[in-house]
Amino acid sequence: MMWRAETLLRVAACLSFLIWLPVSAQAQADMDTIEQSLVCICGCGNMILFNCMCADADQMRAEIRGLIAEGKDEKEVIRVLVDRYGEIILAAPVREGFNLTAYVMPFLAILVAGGLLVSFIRRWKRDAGIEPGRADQETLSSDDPYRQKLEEELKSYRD
Amino acid sequence: MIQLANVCLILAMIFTIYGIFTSLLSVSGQRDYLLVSAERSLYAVFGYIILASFCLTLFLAASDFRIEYVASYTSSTLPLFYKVSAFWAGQKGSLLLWSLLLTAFSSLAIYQNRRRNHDLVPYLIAILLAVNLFFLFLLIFISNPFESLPRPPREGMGLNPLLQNPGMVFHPPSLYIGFVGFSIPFAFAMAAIIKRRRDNDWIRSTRRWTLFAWVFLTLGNLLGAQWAYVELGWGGYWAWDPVENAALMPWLTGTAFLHSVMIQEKKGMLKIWNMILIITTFLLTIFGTFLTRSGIISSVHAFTQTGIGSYFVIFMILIVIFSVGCLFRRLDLLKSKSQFDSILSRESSFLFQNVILIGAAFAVLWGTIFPMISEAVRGTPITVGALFFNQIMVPIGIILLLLIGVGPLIAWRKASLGNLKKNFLIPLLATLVAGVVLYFKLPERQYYPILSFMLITFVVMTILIEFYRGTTARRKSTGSGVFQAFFTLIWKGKRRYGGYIVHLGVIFLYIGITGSAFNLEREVTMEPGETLSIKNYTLRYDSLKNQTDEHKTSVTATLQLLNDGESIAVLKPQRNFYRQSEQSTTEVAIYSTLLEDVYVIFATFDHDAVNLKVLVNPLVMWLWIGGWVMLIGTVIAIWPDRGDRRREEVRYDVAG
Repeated sequence: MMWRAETLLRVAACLSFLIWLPVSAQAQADMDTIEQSLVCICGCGNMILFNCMCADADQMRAEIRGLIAEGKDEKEVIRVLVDRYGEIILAAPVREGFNLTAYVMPFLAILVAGGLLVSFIRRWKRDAGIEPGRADQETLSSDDPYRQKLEEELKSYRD
Repeated sequence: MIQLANVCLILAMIFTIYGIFTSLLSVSGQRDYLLVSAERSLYAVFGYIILASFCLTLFLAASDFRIEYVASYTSSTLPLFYKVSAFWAGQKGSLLLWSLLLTAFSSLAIYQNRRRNHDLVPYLIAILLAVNLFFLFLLIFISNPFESLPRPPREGMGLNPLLQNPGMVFHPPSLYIGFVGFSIPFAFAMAAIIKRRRDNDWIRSTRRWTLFAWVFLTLGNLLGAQWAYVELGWGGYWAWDPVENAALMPWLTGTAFLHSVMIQEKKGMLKIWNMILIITTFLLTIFGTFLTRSGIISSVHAFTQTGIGSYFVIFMILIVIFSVGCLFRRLDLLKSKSQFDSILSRESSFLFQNVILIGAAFAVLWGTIFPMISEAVRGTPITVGALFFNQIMVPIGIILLLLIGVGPLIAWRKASLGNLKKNFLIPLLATLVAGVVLYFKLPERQYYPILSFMLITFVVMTILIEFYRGTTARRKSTGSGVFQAFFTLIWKGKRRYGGYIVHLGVIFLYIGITGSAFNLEREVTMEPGETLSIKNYTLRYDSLKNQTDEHKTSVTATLQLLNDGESIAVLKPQRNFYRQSEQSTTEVAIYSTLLEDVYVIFATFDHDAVNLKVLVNPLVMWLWIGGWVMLIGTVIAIWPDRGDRRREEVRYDVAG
């Protein structure tokens, strides 16, 4: 049973790397994609440019259209806008240097906590000692008669 | 009247200080008369706060512009409904609402527990009144809602048009009820460790308070999401705004606490961990209020003010010192004997779920404060918005979904292979079938949504099987009909089956959230008579109408929504121009079904031509249904039964 538990844990750990899968479809590498990578300069609550309806957003869209018309690709358009307005217009931190910690820390914290938990459970298990034949049993409070009855009913159903 | 309101606040503060001292004095020397006095002083504080709140409501209703708060948030032409809701539109009123709710909950909790947890009552009164003292201090010295103006204006500035929405009337109070509600389990936890209580009575005594706070926090978040969806007019309901995040964090830690205390109740374990969870949750509620009301981080909630931030920081530091100090002093007392039999057990699945929930809360906190950290380290301001949070939170949400399904299937203590096979086989088969169907049927092969829908199928199956097994077992043993057996099953096992219903509500939320991966959007400028096709819908623009009333000028576009050539709705998106605040807002038009929403935003117009943004948002309605289902499940789980009362009586007798 032990190896199964460990396999399960390994799978859980692998799941945390799902971050590298795209969250939504990147249908067209054009205006929409650029707008979704930027926030509006109006500053209303980090509103994604794609969703923002203010006059500043219209101005930014016009700039992007102009840059695309000049033949610039996605990355070049974003670079020009970052030079113009600063890194603050990027909807998410660039994945480099110190900013990498933004992406890594949450998963690192979960993995470390998960690892600690596994070692704690192993220790608790060792401390408790395993009594055979207790599997499938629910620890029932003696003051919960209905619960006992329900479990008995469920057990008789299973049998 | 203004003096009366101020006197009420001052008297409330005097009685608060008196209550704290007398409750603490009553402990030394077992002076019960002092405890009675402290208890009464708490009720008196509650009475004074009610009176002060009543005064503020009257000032708002009467448009008494001598009061600065009334002049800042209302106007004489505002409907009475919104005049009264301006109570929590600004910082000062919100602080008074905090105090009102806190004293109301404290009074009720003390009244309920004056017999049951008599030994804890002095500490409970002291802790709860100490929290109230902070809010009264702010209300009297820093942010007084009754501050009068030397020269009252003839007209008030009016309520921000964005707040003139029924959702906004219920969303803030609901969130505050959730925030404040967690003060009660926090106070109990602290009182229990100060009093060196080793038992789990404080958990049993606060289970309903915790669930009550949690469900209101859930509803508050969902009402906020609904408000954002219909009022902010950007097409979505959750923007990962710092203030939204601030309300989500205590919800995540509170959810972890709700599950983790079950292990303490069952096995007497994790006492320290549960203390840490409730302290963190309480701290995050204060942090949430601070973030909402301090305006320290740029947010869509820009209608809040600054000026009280430093006081909140000091208060939070004091809470940390007090609670962590208490915890460290009683660390030996809280150490419990471990009783874990296997990694594959319900206990450990609850703990892994705890790790994910706390990890999620940390991820939200980290993303929220990262712009400040990055600026401090690199000196460059950056944005951490929805794009970042979606990348981080989607995988975490998927793992959590898996654990929601797995947890209830694994037996307590240790799962056997037979147990796993029996419980997992049908849900797993259904999940695989769903995966294959989705892979071939979905318009775009996106991995996360497919994975999410597969896990949703898995969890729904596990819940349905639980209900099926319970109902069948009941029918077998009692011979009753299906419906009777089903409802009796829920009624007799409120806590267990209420919990499953809450999980079902959570699954509905997941359905709604997953649907957003398939949103479609078109932006178009149309002349009357022109049409736009999106998915299987056709939108025909008919006319534009201008209307002026005493508050605003409204421009309304009338559109016919056709589905496969047949008219199914008339949509009227609007743009409003408010004269007083010189603000313009968008009123979106939504055609909602269980399958999808057609969402029309009126962007601009030029003569008769209109610029529209049209979205087809799948499965949004499931979010709102999920909220109601979670409410129903929680009410069932909270509902007292005769068994509870009997057990309480036995406990008193034993204690007596």
